[in-house]
Amino acid sequence: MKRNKIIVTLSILITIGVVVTSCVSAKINDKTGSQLWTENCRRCHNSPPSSAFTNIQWEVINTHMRERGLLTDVEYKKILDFMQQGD
Amino acid sequence: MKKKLILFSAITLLLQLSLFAQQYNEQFIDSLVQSISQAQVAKGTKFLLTGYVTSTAEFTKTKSSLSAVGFTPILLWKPHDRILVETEFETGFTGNSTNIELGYADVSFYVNKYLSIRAGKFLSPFGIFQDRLHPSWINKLPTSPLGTGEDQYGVGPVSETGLNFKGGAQLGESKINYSFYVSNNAQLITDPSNAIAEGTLSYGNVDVQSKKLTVGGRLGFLPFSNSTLELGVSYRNGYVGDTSAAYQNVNAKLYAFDLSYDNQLDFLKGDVDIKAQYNKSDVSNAWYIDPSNPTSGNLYTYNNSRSSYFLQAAYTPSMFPGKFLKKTQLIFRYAGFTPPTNAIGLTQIKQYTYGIDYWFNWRTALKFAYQSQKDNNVFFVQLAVGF
Repeated sequence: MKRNKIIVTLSILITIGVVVTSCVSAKINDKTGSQLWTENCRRCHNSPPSSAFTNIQWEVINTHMRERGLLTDVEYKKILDFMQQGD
Repeated sequence: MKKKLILFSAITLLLQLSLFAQQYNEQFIDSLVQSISQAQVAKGTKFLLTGYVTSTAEFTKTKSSLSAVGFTPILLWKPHDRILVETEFETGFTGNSTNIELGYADVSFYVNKYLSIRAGKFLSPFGIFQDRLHPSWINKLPTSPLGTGEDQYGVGPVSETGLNFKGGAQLGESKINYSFYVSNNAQLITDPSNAIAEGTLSYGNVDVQSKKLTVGGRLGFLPFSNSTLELGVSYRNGYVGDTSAAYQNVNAKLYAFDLSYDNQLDFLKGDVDIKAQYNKSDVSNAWYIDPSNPTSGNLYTYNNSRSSYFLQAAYTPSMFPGKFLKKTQLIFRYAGFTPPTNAIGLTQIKQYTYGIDYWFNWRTALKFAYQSQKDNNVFFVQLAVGF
């Protein structure tokens, strides 16, 4: 019974992994950092202007926000590039 | 002549000594400053002090209070591209004494694009309020919704101590995110002297209460490509009793469902923000000392199943002309708590909160709110500043 649970859990995780890695949409990849910044920040709070922090500070904050908002890797990189352009 | 020679030698010696001393001092001070500054801010260190400050006033029919001030610094340090260290301290006043609590302290390691592993004390990914919305410069109302704190009405954890596996990914035009964890067990409160908290759970304990750890997590789904809607489901399962024979097999299963929607709607000429969460906790059968007569030692039991919920809607007329309107936000929140049937000292509660915020900038808000909860009606004024 316990083994079956482990097998089912592993199967679900592997299936999710396969689906996730094979179904990468061009939708997010096509978006600009500005769009992703607006869409993701406002999910919880007001969007800060890029002038609010320095480039290094933005890198730290964006990593913190990646943790909080569970951003994808592409979102994290594009938003960071956009925020650092304003410094 | 001899006197002149002695005087000249003495002056020369003094000059040499003073030059040497000056040089030594400059070098010493330079090296000292350099070593101190390097120790504090090493080259390439990515360190940030951020957080928020809150000042709250409360007014009821019988009392007024201006004393609630909270300062919550958050320390962030990124010593490596794949590592983030984060710590939050919650400071404030309780009566006349200063109160400092550790909100979270954890280290995250980014394994790959889809997975990061976090260790330490972290905000529990149980629903969305504690993990994402609790800071006062984010929370649109001066108070937390009923049922989301760690008090007698709390249903669900605030923080966990353990290991957290999390990440986000694209799924076609949608997105998913996950946050699973293995953590220390919660603790069932059985102290009859704290009658109102008896039967509730305390989380984030450092001491492990039994051989098996707790498992839990949240799965989030964002169906639309513009990330306006997120639906989440959370689960937590673990032992909650101490190691004594009476409580060692007591178990708690918790569930939560959450919804988040934020979008600018043309037909309403503004931004609409909706947040909702439902929490449910089921603690298996346990015996409690009757809190109405704790010295008698009489035991009683009940079906320890409780739930809480909140629905919050906010509207900002962002497409109206005029700066004042664009910076004003209207908020309404409905929250409730359903206690276990037959539990002594707890009754069903419904809470209504009406608020209006004025945002001076993206992180500074002056909030006014009226909260109605049974016989406890309070008017709040709060200034919240993020930094």
